[in-house]
Amino acid sequence: MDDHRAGNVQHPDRVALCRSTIGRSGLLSALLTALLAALPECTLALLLPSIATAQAWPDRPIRVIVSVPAGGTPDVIARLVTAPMAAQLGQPSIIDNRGGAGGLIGVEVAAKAIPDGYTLFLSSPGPMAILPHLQKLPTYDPIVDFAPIGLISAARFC
Amino acid sequence: MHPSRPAKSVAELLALARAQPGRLDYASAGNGAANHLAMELFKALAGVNLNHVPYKGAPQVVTDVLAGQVPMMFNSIAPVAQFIKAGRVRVPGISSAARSPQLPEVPTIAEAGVPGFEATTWLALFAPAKTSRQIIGRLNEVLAGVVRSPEIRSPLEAQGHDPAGGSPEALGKFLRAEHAKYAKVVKQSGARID
Repeated sequence: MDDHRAGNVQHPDRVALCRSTIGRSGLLSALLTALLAALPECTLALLLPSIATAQAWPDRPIRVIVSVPAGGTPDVIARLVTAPMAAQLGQPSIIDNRGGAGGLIGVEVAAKAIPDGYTLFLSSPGPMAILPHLQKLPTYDPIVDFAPIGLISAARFC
Repeated sequence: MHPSRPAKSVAELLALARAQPGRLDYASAGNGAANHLAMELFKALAGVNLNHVPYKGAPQVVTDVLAGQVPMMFNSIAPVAQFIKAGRVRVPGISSAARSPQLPEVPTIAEAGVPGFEATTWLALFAPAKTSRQIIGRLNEVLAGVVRSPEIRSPLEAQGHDPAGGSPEALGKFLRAEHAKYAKVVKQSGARID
């Protein structure tokens, strides 16, 4: 006899409780009743993490990947725009400069980041509209791998 | 364009390029940079052949164009505004569909003889796919407020950028259009990464 069964049989209080509420023949229906009673709680418990995440977000700094080195126009604008955004959200932002390979290094890191709202990608046309066409075997898809948030600004050339 | 070259207008630039096919150089911030593909689009629509000289990043390329080592390039206006004013570089045309408020006397390239030409650079914010819609919505709302605020608008304009904003869906649509445009330019030009 294993411990689990022994537990059920050997505790008189529990057995008595079972008998008093459901009777001997009602074991299956009692189990079903218990399961049904527990179901809403289970469902709620399953939903809770996502509700909690959305409500608590952001509860830590937000990383913004910029695929250029510090100092250029995209970096200056990234700092200019994300600092007040983060302040409104009540958390600091961290600019993560991932320059190199024409922006490829940064965009690849961003494409594989966990989609939890704590990693964002600030991009110029290069990584999102040009580079994939230049790769023999594309390592990411800007349309599929990213969710658009909003256009920040645009500039003309002379 | 460096003033040592005789082209003052888009028409003169096209004549200069046609007189020496493939021998007039242009510089860019690198293979695949926005100002590389903008010139490739210009070449395709104008039907001229220019030689690409890729640099690694923006600062050095501007220095070399100012020194006349490479005769021309596309660059955003703000970083070179002082050199335009001082006559150290010439601007035959503007790349956008509308003229620039900073250089209202300069025609757009489209109106100066290359119809349909339009190339801009832009900055946009993205999240990895599958980020919750609530978070995307909140970020969009906060971003829109920030780019509209006067404290951000004027330093953005000082960088030569016009504040944008708009919905995530609008950015998605714009991105798909830019993606398709450059797919065509890359195919036509045979541009590639070294």
